[in-house]
Amino acid sequence: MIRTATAILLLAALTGCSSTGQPGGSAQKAVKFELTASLISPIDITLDWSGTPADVTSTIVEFATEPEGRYTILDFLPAGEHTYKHPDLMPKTPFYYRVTPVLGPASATVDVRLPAATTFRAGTTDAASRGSVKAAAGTPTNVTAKSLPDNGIRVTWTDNATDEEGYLLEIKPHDKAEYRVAGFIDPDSTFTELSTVPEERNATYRVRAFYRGQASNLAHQTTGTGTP
Amino acid sequence: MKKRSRALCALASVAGLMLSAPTAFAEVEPGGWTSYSPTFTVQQRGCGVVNNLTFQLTCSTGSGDQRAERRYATYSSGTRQFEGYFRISSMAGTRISLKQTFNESAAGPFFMLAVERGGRLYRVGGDTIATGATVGTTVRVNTVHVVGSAHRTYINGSQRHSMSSPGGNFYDKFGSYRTDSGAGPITTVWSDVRFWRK
Repeated sequence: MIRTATAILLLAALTGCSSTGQPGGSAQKAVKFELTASLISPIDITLDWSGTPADVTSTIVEFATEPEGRYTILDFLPAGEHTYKHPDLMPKTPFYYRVTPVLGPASATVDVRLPAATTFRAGTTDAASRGSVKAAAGTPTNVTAKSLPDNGIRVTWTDNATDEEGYLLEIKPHDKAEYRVAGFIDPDSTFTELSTVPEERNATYRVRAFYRGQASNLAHQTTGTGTP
Repeated sequence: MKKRSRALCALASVAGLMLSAPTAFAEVEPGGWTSYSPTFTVQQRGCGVVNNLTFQLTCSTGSGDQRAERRYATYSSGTRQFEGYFRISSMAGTRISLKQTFNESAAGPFFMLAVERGGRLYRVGGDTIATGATVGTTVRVNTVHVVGSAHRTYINGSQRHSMSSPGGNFYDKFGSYRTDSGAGPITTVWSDVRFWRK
């Protein structure tokens, strides 16, 4: 049994099975995040990391209470942010953290103005949507956003990616400078629906084929006695 | 090729687990927990559909009993812990209950964790508990209920809510349930649901 399992592991290694997905399978020398976790009170942990992996578009922060997982995403942060506070934690519990760069191409953008009952499409001012810029392999195309009753919206696209981790729906409210992740959709998907909050009704939408870059080292802390 | 490489990685992961399977102790708060498996019944009403751990409300009806839930066995003493991970795979509706601690003695939902637009988690009849339960994102929930004393809720490892608890008969429920001010549709998938007591 152990021989069989070992053989499978070796085969996986030889065929390049890893968590470092790259669009189109291109090999790229990446700078890995270096992560530290600090216990700033018995039940509060702060994470800090350094490094700028190539082509990072945002950063996934994850935690688990066992070193092998199960890891849960705490947040998607803009690429320029390098710190995160995890507050009011379970007492006397081990916490393990990792941060991972988000890679992958984003679609052309779509301006959404709800509650108009219509279908919004990629703007003609967008270079990528005009075809004047060659889109990266796997870029989602034909992105549209159709309004639904009660300020809902259905976003659709063409799935052009291979081995993607999933798709991210990214939204930038009209008065904000940065996109934030508003949805994390299964691989091979071609649509998602959401009921919008006010800031998502006058905003710019795009869809990203999502690949994980190389994860950081694991950082570990154990909380102290809380006051449950 | 796409599916083949995923299958290979999955096989490798399984093999890795076979070689060095870790012992899992994921319960929160220290001391003396015993894992157990309470029985449950499945409740499907209105447009509620349950398929194993997938709980759907398929309609946008804003009235009546729209319910797709698991109802676990009643308990009346001691300390109970629930752990589970939910993922909303689609939500065109809003204000849907995901997890309840039900007070059978008072015939009402003692604690009801619900989600509304934008992924805001809140206690029905109370304030915001957390944000970030956006479509596709997995959220970890732990509740610790000391019957006759306290009920605490942890979201992604952080304590987000605490309230006092009376004595009586209680049970856990989870799935998708339309609150009085809510409506579907929604699809919620739960995983790794576990219970402990002491």
